[in-house]
Amino acid sequence: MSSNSNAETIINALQAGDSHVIEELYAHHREDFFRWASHRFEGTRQDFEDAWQDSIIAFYQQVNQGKLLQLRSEVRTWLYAVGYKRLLNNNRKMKRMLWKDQIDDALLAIELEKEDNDPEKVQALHTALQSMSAQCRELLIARYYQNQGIEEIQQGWNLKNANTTSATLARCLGRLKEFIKKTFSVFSNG
Amino acid sequence: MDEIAQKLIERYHQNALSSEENQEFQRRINSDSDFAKEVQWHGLALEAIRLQGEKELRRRLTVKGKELDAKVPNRSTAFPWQWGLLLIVLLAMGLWSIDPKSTTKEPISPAAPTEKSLPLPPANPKPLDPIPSRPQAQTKPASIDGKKIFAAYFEPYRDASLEPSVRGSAAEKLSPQEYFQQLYWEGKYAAALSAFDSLSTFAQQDNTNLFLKANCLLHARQGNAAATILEGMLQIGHSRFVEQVPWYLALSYLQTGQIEKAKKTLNEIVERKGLRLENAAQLYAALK
Repeated sequence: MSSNSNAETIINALQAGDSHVIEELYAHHREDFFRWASHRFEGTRQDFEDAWQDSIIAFYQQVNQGKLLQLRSEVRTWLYAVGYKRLLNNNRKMKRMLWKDQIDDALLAIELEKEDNDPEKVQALHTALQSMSAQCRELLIARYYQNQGIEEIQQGWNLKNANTTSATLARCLGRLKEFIKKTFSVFSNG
Repeated sequence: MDEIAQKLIERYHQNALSSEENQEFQRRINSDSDFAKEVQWHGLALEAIRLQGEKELRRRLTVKGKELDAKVPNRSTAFPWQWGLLLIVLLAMGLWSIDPKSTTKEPISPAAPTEKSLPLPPANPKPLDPIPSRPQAQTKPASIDGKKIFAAYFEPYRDASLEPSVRGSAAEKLSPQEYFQQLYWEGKYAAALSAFDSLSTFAQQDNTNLFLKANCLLHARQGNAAATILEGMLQIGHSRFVEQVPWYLALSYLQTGQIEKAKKTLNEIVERKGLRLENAAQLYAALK
């Protein structure tokens, strides 16, 4: 997977909506990360799996939100550093073996936003999205999470043309916003 | 909200505003309260989409991880465990054969088979019949060998709706979807499995394609990976093949030696009087 060693190629592919690349990235470095992490932590394979998935998802979202446009290190180093950070945060009791390598240096350069984990808000947002039709949900995820283009979505869902696709997306997003407005107005009034 | 404002809001959330657009954005957010609220609603809508997208991506990664684990077993731990189990079985068989009580006082079965008899494989499948023909009556095997019983019962799913409308080779401008479907239809399951990886992300999430992939995995004896897909389909619940899924899930369990789970799934088919009722009842009886 020589192409995946190239950060720019990976970032460009993800920005173009090719989310398949993320699975390749996940598979390509997974075992190495497990081995590397097991030298630093006494954790289970599941602990390492969770951290690796968190890291891959963080990378995917950073790129898709336009927050990660280029890397100073290799993609692998970035992923390891984030996975390492997750292991530290999620498993404070996990025994850590102290050493230092380039991952620690990369860690200093990576700033991730703290996630808002207010369970009430998360539940309300989940309910709002579930109130949509399955097609609307899938379309919105394809467009706004997977960064897929209008043309690709049009083909994937057999929609009539680009205008119809854009209009459908706008209608779905509008409905979602309306539902959120109602829900959160109740919150703020209550 | 006008179209320009919507575009500004959208580009703001994509971190894609140019400096001019940013100036306009700042001007409007400070002077127009409706605009400021719309920015907030848009942000919340995107967060709802992100949360769901993340959930689905995590599920895809979990499936991929299980597939990877199924392909590359951990040899350092798998072999000692298997050898240990083999040793225990051999010891138990040795003890059983030298203990006269076990054959005279309490025979397990009055008609214990002298050789392992397994349910016969279904006859060659009819091209358009998804239900394999009934295996002949069987005697119980002394111990259940899930893999052999699996081989006797498993037949990749087929029905007329799966026949491709277009045929050709990959080079003849077949779409990845058409090529995958054609390979499956022609019974080239290993090639279909590879072709699945070339499908678009949409297509890889499509329930029909996932169901066919599970069948390809079963054909390749990757029962764990197949079970993961089928369990996911059962959870989602709305799929064209939802009635077929339990049968293939039971076979996945059987292929991986999870006899109790296979029996439970088969029993559910029988109790629900679902599709494959006859097959399920026979297989359940064979496993008891």
